[in-house]
Amino acid sequence: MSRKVVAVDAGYGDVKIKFRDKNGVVQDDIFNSIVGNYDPGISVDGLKSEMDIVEVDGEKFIVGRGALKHSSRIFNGRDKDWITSAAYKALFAAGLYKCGCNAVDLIIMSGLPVTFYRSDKARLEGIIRDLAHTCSLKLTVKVIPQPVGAFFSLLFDEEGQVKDESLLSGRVGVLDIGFFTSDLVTMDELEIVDKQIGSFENGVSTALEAIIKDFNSEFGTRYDSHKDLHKIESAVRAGKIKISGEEIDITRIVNGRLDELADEIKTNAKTTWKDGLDLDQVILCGGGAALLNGQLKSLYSHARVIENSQFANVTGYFNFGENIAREA
Amino acid sequence: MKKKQIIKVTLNVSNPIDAVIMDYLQDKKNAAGHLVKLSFERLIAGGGSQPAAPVTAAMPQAEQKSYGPTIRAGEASEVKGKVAKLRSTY
Repeated sequence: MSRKVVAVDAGYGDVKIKFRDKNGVVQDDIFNSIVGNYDPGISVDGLKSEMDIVEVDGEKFIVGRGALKHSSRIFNGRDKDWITSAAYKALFAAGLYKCGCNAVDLIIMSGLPVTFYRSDKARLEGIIRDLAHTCSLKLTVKVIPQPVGAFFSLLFDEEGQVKDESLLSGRVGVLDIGFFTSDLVTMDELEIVDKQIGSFENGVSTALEAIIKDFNSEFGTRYDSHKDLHKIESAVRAGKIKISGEEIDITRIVNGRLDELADEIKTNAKTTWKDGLDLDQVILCGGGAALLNGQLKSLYSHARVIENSQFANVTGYFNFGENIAREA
Repeated sequence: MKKKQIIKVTLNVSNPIDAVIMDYLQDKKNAAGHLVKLSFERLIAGGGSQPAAPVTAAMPQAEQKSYGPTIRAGEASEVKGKVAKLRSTY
């Protein structure tokens, strides 16, 4: 029976997806978690605009960067009820669409922040089922805590086989630095340690908002700390920004703010893990981990940023899904 | 000797559930082996009815793979037990 695994990590900053293409090759993709209203507007023959349009509950939305250009209203959310909003559903549906999620036997894998996991797992599974019910004859939906995804990316390979047996009995700390929040869990012999679960309001956006203020004050720009976050994030990763047609090096401003963010995250992590000596490994994942790589080196001597950290969670969802598929 | 059966199906590939049904029928064909021959015509969205290449040629490689045993010899049962517990947890 044809079986397909797709993984969608719908974060506050970006949606990451992982799936197999028609040749069986594992692919991943990413797009900004931006949702705007869809207005057909004026179309010009011969000019095709690049927009991802998704219809949810009878309403059309533009998802990704196209929304910033073409939508008059941008929907955003960072609270617990974000997953029930039409905008979230639009992002998730776009992720499923980009995975090419039609299959007779479809397994959809996703995740939730650790603090919402127990209360919202069933709710999110229901939402995903509603979105994908026309895509398959047999649908399996699994939702796992987001940082556990990063752990699974190290435990399983993309065929779903155990690739590192030391993790089965090890004690591993996972710090997932996301866009708005950072999540922390400890896995001990594959179980989450209840006393070492944490979520705090320090993410990449904390630094970006401060950087935007710095830019506006130093360069006289009028960047908006809500609307321009993704634009500034790209500039921060590039280390430069174009103002009045001129490229300006921004590493001095950026490094100062990233240092501050890293210090806050290190303090929060050490509140939970103390000196970290009882942990066999500390893994850092999420889009913020790569950005703060240099600044987080002093967290613990055995802490390391996971390769391709932005995709670590979705990779783990996918790899675990492949394991489920093998055993089904 | 059983007679070959030819079934002709027209599906709209722009419709997600039709794509799923096409996949399902392909499975049936694989299961039935040489006794059943399926021939597909795809209705291309906006382009009218056009005969398409046989679906067998477009069958994704990944979807034909077999799902075999996951665990190596040695500590197989212990590892298998731990991973099975993980699957039941989530």
